[in-house]
Amino acid sequence: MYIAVASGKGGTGKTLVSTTLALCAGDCSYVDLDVEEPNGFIFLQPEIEKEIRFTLPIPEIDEAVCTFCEKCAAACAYNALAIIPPLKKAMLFPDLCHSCGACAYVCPTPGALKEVDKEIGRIRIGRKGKIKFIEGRLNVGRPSGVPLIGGIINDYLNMDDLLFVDASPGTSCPVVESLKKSDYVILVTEPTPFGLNDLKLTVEIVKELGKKTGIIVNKDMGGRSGIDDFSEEVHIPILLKIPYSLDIQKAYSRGIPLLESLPGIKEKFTALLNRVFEKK
Amino acid sequence: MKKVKEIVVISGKGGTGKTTLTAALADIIPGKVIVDADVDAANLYILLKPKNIRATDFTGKSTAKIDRDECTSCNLCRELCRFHAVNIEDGDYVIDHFSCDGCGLCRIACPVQAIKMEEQIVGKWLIADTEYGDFVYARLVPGAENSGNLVTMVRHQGKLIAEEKNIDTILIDGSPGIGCPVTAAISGTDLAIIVTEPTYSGISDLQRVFELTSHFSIKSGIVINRFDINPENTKKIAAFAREKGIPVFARIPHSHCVIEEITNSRLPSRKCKELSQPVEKIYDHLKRELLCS
Amino acid sequence: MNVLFAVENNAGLDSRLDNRFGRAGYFLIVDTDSETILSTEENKYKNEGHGVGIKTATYVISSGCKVAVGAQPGPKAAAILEQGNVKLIVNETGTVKEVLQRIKDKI
Repeated sequence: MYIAVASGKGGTGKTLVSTTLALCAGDCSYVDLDVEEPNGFIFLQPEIEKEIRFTLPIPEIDEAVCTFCEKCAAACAYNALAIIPPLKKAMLFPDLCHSCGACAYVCPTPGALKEVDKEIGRIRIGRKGKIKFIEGRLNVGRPSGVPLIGGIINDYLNMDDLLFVDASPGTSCPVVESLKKSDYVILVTEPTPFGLNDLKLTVEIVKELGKKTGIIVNKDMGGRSGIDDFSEEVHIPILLKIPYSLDIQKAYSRGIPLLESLPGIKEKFTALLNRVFEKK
Repeated sequence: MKKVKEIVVISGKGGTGKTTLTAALADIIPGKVIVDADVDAANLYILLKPKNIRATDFTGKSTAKIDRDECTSCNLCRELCRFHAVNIEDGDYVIDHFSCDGCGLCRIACPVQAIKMEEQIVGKWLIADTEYGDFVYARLVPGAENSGNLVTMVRHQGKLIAEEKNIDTILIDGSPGIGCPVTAAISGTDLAIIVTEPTYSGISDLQRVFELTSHFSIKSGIVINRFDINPENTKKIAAFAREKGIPVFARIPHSHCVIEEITNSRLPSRKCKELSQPVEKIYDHLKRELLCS
Repeated sequence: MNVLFAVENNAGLDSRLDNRFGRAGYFLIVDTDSETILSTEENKYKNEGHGVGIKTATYVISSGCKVAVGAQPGPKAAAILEQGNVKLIVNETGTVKEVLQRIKDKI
């Protein structure tokens, strides 16, 4: 079962919740797909068993063979190639390249353009007790984490396992990629207008994807907030409220998991998990 | 014409108080255009309360569309597509718009020209008046990509307003993270304020975002938010700053007042001294840094 | 000598320099000796999403001009123009006519 933990806004406690879920469940996989800022390892402290370079093909042009016909540059929707016939020069700007392969497909000159592998990130695999740890980490300056996220989902996850997936924050492509294959989505938010605004945007996405969804309110100040009203309005249940506490935050800042910093939380998370399993 | 100075507020991760700080700076810096370039989670408007909003649709990337009548189901597009965006639904070849990256290879390859590229509306950019100055921001259609492009657009609109009204400062709320939207938010700016917090993740994220600002040779300064929740990590951040030669502009304490004010959609720096005093310090730094650049 | 100007509008020698290079409105090629416009071309790349500077810089090189006047291009476009030995004049503002007078002795 693939349980995705997402939040429209960063810093709401998505990593806190997903690592706590993994620690509660025990026999499961924790998958960090927040590839721009993968932080789950800080709380799980896994032993890393292997690190895999994740590569994508990018073009390499042999200027001695190239006829500078410009077909590749014309086909490139990302303008990553500059072909300058008067100078007999071909330049590639790798940070614009999306590795779609259009340039190689259209090149009419055998041997002029070939695709070579370029590292765009790393996948780290490890273990913490019974928890399997999988993390994607995008190299700085890469245009998109989507291929890395997709690569991990397609090639490194066993869909029969219990998977807790720490999705990318935000509401754009990377989060959609992380949610597509999920069986259940937990949205983590906080009871501020910022949290509510971003929650609404994320709910639009999960609705469009047709996912079963529940909400966790973090840093709850007690009483009702706009989140309660919204939850009733869109019929998405609030699964849990984690109280606002300076102690939790201090513990978090030292990388201490929630299970150790908030007594009684394990029972609440276990009950929450049972509720999610029933929904499957 | 005066050269417009662009100040961008960024953070390695979300939730560090970047938007709250930007709003506080917007309240204290005189004569500026404010740009919310955090289009993925555009929140600044909640605190600035824009009025007289003018919206313009923004078309972003094109995605492919297959003409069912022309398609011969040869499967070539599906074989070639590296984004796995071509699906077969009830025997018809259709494009999954969430997956389509807009590369156009299928259009080029289709032997019967059954595929067209169509521009998508990915959001809108908005210009509005606020109590604090002209404000440019954007709304991205949830799930849409191309926020880097939209970031460039809102920054450009901000610059046009600044030039038209002869305003010499632009304050930008940047995106969190290190991806394309951040690159678009910081490239060519004069100063980056990096907001961080003394958590484990705060430190590792700071290192990553600093890699980016140094790549673009952008002068930067650090603000440590909620520095008192972990004095030890705050020291580590200060040591990192010293090692890299980046000034620490201010340390902001944890404050219940700030949380309460935000919960009620009010500008916290108006009421909470814990925030307004460090913000004045940041402003002093800004004046100094930008005068000598 | 033929010089390329990256301008905002299409108003002959009265066109104003654009404050962007890659996304400039038009490109004018001007013969600086006779002060006449040899060609005016709308920038067809200006609304593209990515790599606009790359396209326009490639266009500048194909135009054959060895001097280009306009806003500071981005790093990628600048790298291409350097390959093509195109000299850039970036700190000018105003109309083509005004700029011509000021830069005549520089080129």
